[in-house]
Amino acid sequence: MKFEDKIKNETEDIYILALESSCDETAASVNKNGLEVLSNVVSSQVDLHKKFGGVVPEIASRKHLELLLPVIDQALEEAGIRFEDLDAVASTYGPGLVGGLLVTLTAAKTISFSLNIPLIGVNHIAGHIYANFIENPDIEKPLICLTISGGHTDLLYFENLRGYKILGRTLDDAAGEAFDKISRFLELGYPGGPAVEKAARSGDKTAIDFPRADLGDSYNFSFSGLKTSVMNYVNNEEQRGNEIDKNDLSASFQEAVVDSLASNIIKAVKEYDVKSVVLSGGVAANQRLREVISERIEKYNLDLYYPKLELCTDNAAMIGVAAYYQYLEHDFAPLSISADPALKL
Amino acid sequence: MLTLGIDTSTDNLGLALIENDIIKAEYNLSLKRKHSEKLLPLMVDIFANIGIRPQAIDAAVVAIGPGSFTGLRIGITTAKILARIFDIPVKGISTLEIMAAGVESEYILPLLDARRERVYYSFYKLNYKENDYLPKTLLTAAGARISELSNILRNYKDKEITVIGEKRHEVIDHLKTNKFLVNQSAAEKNIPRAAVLARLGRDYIDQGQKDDIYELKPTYLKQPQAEIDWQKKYGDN
Amino acid sequence: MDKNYSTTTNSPAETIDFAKKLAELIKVPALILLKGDLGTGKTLITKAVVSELGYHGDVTSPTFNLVQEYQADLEIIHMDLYRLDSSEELVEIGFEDYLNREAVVFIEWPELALSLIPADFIFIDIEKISDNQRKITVRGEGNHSSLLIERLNQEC
Ligand SMILES: Nc1ncnc2c1ncn2[C@@H]1O[C@H](COP(=O)(O)OP(=O)(O)OP(=O)(O)O)[C@@H](O)[C@H]1O
Ligand SMILES: [Mg+2]
Repeated sequence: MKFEDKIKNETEDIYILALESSCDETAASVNKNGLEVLSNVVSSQVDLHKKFGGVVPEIASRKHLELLLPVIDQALEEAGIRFEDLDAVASTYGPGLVGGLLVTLTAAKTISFSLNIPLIGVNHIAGHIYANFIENPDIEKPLICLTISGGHTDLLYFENLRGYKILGRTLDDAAGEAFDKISRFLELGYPGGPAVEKAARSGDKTAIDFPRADLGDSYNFSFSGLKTSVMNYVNNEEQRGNEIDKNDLSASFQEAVVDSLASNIIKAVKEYDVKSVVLSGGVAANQRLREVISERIEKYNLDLYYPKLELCTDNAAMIGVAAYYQYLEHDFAPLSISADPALKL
Repeated sequence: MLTLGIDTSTDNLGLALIENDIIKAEYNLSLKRKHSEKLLPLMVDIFANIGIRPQAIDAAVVAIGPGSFTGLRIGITTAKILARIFDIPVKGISTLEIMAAGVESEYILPLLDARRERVYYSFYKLNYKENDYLPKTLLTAAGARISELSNILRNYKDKEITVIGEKRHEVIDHLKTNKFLVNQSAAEKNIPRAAVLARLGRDYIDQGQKDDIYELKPTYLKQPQAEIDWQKKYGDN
Repeated sequence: MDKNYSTTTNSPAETIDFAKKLAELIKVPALILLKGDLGTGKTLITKAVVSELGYHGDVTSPTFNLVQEYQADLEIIHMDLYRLDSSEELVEIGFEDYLNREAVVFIEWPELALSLIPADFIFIDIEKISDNQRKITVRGEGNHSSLLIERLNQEC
């Protein structure tokens, strides 16, 4: 029997094993009907990578291979589910580090082959967005979602949970990348987001008027010009023999980033008739960003959601939720699917 | 015993099914970095062609390198999952040993290209005259510059050595210049063949030598140092 | 004395013009190293060359991903080693796997990789003169790069 003949519909119970290894977490989960998370096992390598100030790809891949079976075993055990009970298997297939992605993607393919169940390839960023729906299942739709991290800056529109439309994305540097680079340049520390935010708290955000990228009617973002403006400012001040106030500089830089992000959200809110705004990704932890967006959407009477955990770590439960909606859409992957390190939403 | 052999360690994607002494199917595909896309579809294909179901396999054997780290992890992950789901034994075999086990000579030097005039090598003795087809390791796998090999093999100058694999012509030239006795083998003996892998794995498992599925991992060999370092010229102005 | 080509651009647009000329002279396989401080224009040059090579999707900074691949008629690999700390890590990331492909490979922040790259590459050094001015110097090793430098010097 082909697996196509045993696909279930929304009214039946659907169990999905989801795997994730795109960055430095090896994770497995079992979800029932999407939002019901039966188990969520995350084995983190953060300590391993701390000394490098970022993830070292080969070290991460080796660790993923080592942790693969233990996390799968634990996820099944905690959920009280056997391999034979699964209706589908899912894995992240991008974006991320290829070496890591291939570990769980290959595992998921082999599970799909061995058990004759469908394979679902999930975009890691989509997973992060769906994570919000686990915490807040009642978010009103349609909604606008801004996902911002070291690697991404994407603005999305969700009519319902079954799919989304991309409104805009960064053309060069991601918002989180800009924070990291400015932080390293000003020697404020790693990770850059919290370091710049901290310095900004004691600075004057109106001290320096950094330019905002003008991208016309589009919902796109660009931060490389801002990054270069900060460099130029510092170089020029130093040449003039002036002292640099890192706090003022951080505050002004942060304000420029936040303003670009918030402006596009407002633009989208005006064009689309939405009920909520959702922030996701590491940069969503930025307090100033939350504050500015709250203020600016207030008059539109919308709910604003952002992840509760300051550190919205990678996990497989969120991949499982995204996978469930893909299952309902019969959005299955062929066994020839490969990892895509720069996969876009 | 139905044994599945999987090799994604080099450009050769190898997949074989052997049952006792019969090769039921063997694929050796010369592909460049398409292993992730091809492996599972090929598995579907091989099982469909033979008309058996995956749960029928009794053992999974996999090449553990040296080779591309990413490629190696594809095959090893597949073997681990199969072993876990079907509760069967798994065995990892050195890619160089697979090559050595495919020729009939006494002293064998299998090679894999490590680029920039470097190779991965291992050195084996095969007592095939006594019908023993499991190679004995004389020198464990390592990386070296081709120019270093005569020194590495200095204790075997009086033996007839069969040199196989990638870069063999360069290595043979080098060893001949240094007065070694060297042989070659037929063209098809120069790749790690999937059926040889499956056979080796089956023999080891028969002897009770299986691997722990949780511990199985690639041979992570370091690339030997290259001769030219551009650091001085382009590093700082 | 090594051959080189050098030009000074006064705006991003002029740098893009230079990149387009460069793109016409690139043959697969090619290894292009881009050196320069933060925000000097390594990604900007890569974007322009990649677009000229026939890839029309987004080309963004690979700092976070470390490696991005673009599939046009030819294979393009875009790396950025900014986040790495030692060449030991490069050996471990299987970096050399990428260099052996039949592809056009761009590497931003290549300093760490200098002990691992083959004897054939194009080296682009970008220096900031002022806010909008860049001095771009092209050097390199191997036949491909000397031919390319010769042609750049003839054409510009
Ligand atoms: N003459 C010029 N040539 C190139 N870029 C210029 C020039 N003048 C100004 N710029 C600006 O410099 C910036 C270059 O940014 P880009 O992100 O390409 O730099 P990068 O070298 O890749 O930085 P990073 O080190 O962060 O990777 C752009 O914002 C661009 O508009
Ligand atoms: Mg860049």
